Amino acid sequence: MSVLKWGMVIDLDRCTGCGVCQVACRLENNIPPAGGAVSGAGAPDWITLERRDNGRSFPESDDLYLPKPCMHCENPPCVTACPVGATQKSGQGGIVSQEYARCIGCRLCLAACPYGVRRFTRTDPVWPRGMEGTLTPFASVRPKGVVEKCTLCAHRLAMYGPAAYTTACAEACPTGAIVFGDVEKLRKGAAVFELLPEKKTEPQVLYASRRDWARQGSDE
Amino acid sequence: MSEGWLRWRAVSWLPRPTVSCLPWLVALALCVLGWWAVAPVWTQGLGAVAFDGAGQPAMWFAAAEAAILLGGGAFVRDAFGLYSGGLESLSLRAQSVPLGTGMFTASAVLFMTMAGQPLRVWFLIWHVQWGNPLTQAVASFLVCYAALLLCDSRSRILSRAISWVGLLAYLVLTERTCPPTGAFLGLSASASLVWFLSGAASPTWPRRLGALIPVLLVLFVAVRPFSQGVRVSGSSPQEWLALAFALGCGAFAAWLRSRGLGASGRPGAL
Amino acid sequence: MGIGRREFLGVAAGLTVGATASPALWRAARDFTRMSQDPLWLPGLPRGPIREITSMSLACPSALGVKVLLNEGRPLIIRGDPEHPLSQGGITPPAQAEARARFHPDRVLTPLLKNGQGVFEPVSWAVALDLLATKLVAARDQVMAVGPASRGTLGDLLAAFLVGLGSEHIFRMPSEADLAKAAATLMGGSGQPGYDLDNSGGLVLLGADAFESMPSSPHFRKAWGERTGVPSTFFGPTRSATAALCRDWIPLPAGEEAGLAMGIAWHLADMGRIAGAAPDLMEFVDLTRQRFSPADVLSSTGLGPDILRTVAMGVAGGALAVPGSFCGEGLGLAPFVAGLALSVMSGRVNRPGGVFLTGPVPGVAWLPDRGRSGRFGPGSDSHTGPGPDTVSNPAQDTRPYFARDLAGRLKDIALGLIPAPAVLLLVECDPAEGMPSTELAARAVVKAGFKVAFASLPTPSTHLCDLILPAPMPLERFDDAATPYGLAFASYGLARPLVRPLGSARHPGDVLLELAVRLGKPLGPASFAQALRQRVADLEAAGGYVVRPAPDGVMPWRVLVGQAQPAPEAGLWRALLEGRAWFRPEPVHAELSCGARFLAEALAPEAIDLDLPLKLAPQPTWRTGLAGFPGPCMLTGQADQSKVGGGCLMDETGLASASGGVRARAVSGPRPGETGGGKPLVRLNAATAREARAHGGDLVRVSSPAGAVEAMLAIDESVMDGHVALDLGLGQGQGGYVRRLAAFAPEPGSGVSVWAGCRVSLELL
Repeated sequence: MSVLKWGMVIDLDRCTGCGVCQVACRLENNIPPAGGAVSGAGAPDWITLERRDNGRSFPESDDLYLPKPCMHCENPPCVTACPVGATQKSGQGGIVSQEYARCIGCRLCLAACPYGVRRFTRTDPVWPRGMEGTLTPFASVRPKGVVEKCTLCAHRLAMYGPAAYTTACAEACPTGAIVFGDVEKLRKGAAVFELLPEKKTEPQVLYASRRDWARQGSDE
Repeated sequence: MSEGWLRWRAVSWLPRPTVSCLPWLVALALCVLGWWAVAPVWTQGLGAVAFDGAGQPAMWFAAAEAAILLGGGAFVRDAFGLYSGGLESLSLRAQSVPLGTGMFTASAVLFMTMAGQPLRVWFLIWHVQWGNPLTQAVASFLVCYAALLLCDSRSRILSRAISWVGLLAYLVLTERTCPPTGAFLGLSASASLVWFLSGAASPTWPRRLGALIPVLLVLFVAVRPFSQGVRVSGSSPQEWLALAFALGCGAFAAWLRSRGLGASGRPGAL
Repeated sequence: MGIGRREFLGVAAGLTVGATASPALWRAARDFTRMSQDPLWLPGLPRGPIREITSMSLACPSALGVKVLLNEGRPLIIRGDPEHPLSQGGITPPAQAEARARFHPDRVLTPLLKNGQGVFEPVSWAVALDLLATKLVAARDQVMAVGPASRGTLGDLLAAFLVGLGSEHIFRMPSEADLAKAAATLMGGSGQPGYDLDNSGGLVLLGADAFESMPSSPHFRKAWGERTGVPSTFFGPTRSATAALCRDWIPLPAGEEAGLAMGIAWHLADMGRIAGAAPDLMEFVDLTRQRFSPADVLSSTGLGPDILRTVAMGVAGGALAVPGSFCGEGLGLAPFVAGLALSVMSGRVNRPGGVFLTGPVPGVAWLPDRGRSGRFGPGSDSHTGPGPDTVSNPAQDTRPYFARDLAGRLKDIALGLIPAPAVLLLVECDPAEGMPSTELAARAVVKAGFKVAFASLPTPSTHLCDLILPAPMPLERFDDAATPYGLAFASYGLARPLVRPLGSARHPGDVLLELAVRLGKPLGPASFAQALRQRVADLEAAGGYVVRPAPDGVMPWRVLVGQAQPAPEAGLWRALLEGRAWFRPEPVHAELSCGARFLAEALAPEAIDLDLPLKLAPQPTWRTGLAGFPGPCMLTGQADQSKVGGGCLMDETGLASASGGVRARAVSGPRPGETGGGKPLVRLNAATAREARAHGGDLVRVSSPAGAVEAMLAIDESVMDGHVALDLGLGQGQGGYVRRLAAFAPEPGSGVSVWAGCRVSLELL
């Protein structure tokens, strides 16, 4: 078991909510475009942007955007909840994997995850005609009825090796707000915080901000 | 060849007068209903249902939970040997076991409909994760169901033993699916329901209605998912159809079971 | 009976044994297991090697370098190119969408001609071009064309085409680049202003949306995003993405950008921190003293003298002042002149960390008639192409400086003040969506005799046209881009086609060249690609250099601070096709004035209509597109209402029906009485909503003299008091609903149509 822990430190003061990370993730991982068979549902994004504010009125108001991929927790509640073992805490840098062929779609992991980062595919993915030609070989096409989530682009670890390994969202971020790497190294000397520390999940995706109110924002 | 052979030949291809066509017609009707109800869900995915905050189709989930909770009364009589007490014990038996069978069948149909990949539910057995609460729940469910199907032995001792096994499995199941008070609530509610249904023997209406209170209580507990933001009025026609199909399957299973048990609650004579 | 049962059991047992022995059962089980885990009906993934090609993105105006991953010649995914000096790996959603956008379900694949019933029918190219040629011949010089806002060879070609027809009615979609350039010209210089964020020690954004809608925003994000502790201030009515990257957001009412700049100038003069020189400096200082004292500025902008003093000290200390609009459009010349005047006062023109006047990127020297209108000749500034430039002596010329104001022209056509053109060419632009007062613009388009649109996706404008000619999308075409607005150094990039266009799309440049030949006025190059080759050949002779790959590469902003510029390389065409970019950091030397006389005229106080108590604050967001450019497909970046708090769900135009005709449907936003589609969100803060007697979730109507929009109200405290914020984007029916409200008026002194700070009213439905 390696001591290396893959994760991210996301600087909330540099995130502008532009959505490039979200789009990069969709393209890399073959997430179908929005507006499929289910009305009102957006694309099942693996990384979402959550807007938070300090709850005060103008002009003392302040807000930020928080990119939220899977936290790849050290103590993942989803792994405990899965009755068939479709999601496992990997020995490879602690990435929590998701195996679509094993998942029976019971969605207990969805309920167990306190961060709400898992997505359930209600229907088969729908691509406009011809667009399936843009599928990348990096992520399998998920059928309906299984749960999917951010994999920290684990296929890139195999493709590029640990030295050049980075996720699509970190690579695409135009301001460098998302920094990917060995979390233990990244968090040294930085005032980082995690989401929902009271759940004791010990996530490997951490956040940094100068603003105190950002640390206190309560999540679901 | 004699006239007897001819008669045997003629008769053997005909439906026996004691085997009626009704079950087959009902089964056919259920198949048609199922085609409209669950086939779209199984082929096109769970796209037409309203999910609650935990990612479950709330109405089905509540109905399945309620069914499980209310199905355990079947074991109470035999497990506790309640053969006396001024009640029509035999009719009680005759009603409780089919009721339990019907409830469990309905909940099984609902769970199969809710699963994202119903063809893969055998993974629950094949790739069992021992520490997982759902594994224990599934095992208990199967044990309960088996007990319901088998607890019609002529020997009272065997029947009692099977009922105890079923009852314990039922307690584990309800505790796992509805913590923390599922076992207690389920037991009291299901027993009350059976007692309510045997109301032909209960003379007074207050006693009968009083028996309904735990039932309502368990229904309230079971519809907890509604509080997570999904309303019944937001449910789609598909959800109601599937619910009707599940209840129909449950009723059918109960009916078949009761035919197997007969009026006395014992197997054999019809 | 007993025998029946035994018989049955015997048969059943036999069947079971037989089935188990045969392979059919096990095969079926295996297939069943496989199919339940890997359904057959889902598309498979590509096999084989993945090739990586570097190119330039055409989908957004930033001239980004991108890496395109291809499998068997099909583009799969676009990523940023970390080697490209402009974007350094950064990328924008329109650029990311390029690969998937090609398969947009509504994409125009064949020429479409509107028949008598108003339904579009596919026709062949031969028929379409014959018809267009006939119309052009009949129209003679009553032809008007509108080109895209981007500064590329296609715009020049369009201008040359019109000149060949004898018409001068060539316009371009408005962009801040034109305004900034006109401001610099007015102040006695020339060239396109650019802002050297890479070398600056501080930043004051006088409304400029430097990190979102400005074309050079990807470069600016890279330059600025990594810095911490450097002071930066954004002035604007909402906390936008740009504000998120600045240290301070100071709320400034919409339309007050010029007053702010003048107020800061007052403080600079008051502190005596004037480092630069200008011929009308005293006149300018007098103007600020007369009309922009702290009390005046406080009453117009609500900003106190201490705030402005601090900012002025920053500017004096070297902070870069960038003028512009917080939404990327709608301003006149005055805010740019005033903003540039600040740089003049602090002596930061053509200095590192300041404002640079970037030189022109030479254009194609292939126009036949150079003498008559020299501005389209080889020495001309192809920066602007058919632009507002070349007023030789601002003091003497009495014409409005911005002679080519499209908004004003469309309004005049719509109101019947000028005759409508007989033929209207819309080349990859969308006036019915992208112009202020969209209803007027749409009316003007409809009035034209024969309307042709070159487009790849249906837009509100194509819906109004008679003929739609399919254009190829990015990755399928040659095209170029010169100096995105905001860069402090001239640049040029090229993109080449990586796949064949879908359907029968043809490059508008090729189509125009063919038409010119047909009409007997050939333009020279045989194809658009050849035109680009000629341009690059001219560029080779113009100096400049191509940045070598790391570690040898010298970045152009380092050349600005004095590092030696490398020599130009041979083989520029080859280098550009490989996705590298050409740069010429040498600025245009000029002695700028402060534009005092113009400002005195342009900044006259205006009356406020009390019936319109609120101001419009459009907010651009990457998720829905960019101002001035026909929207790329947002199939990969759809606005997420719950997250952004804005965005809109609109009916999308035209789906090809089974019979091949195109059913054109509702365009540019919901009209009163329409059902279907979602309503856009209008955002107010709680105090403003209280004054308007509305609450979050109410359906409201936002009205202005130009139009009205129905929307749902959302409370958002990142919007300042007295403003209503609506998300702005372009393409796919997003954003036009905001511009419907934009009532514009000509700016005194320049004639530019200004709609920044336009006022609206709000009523409950």
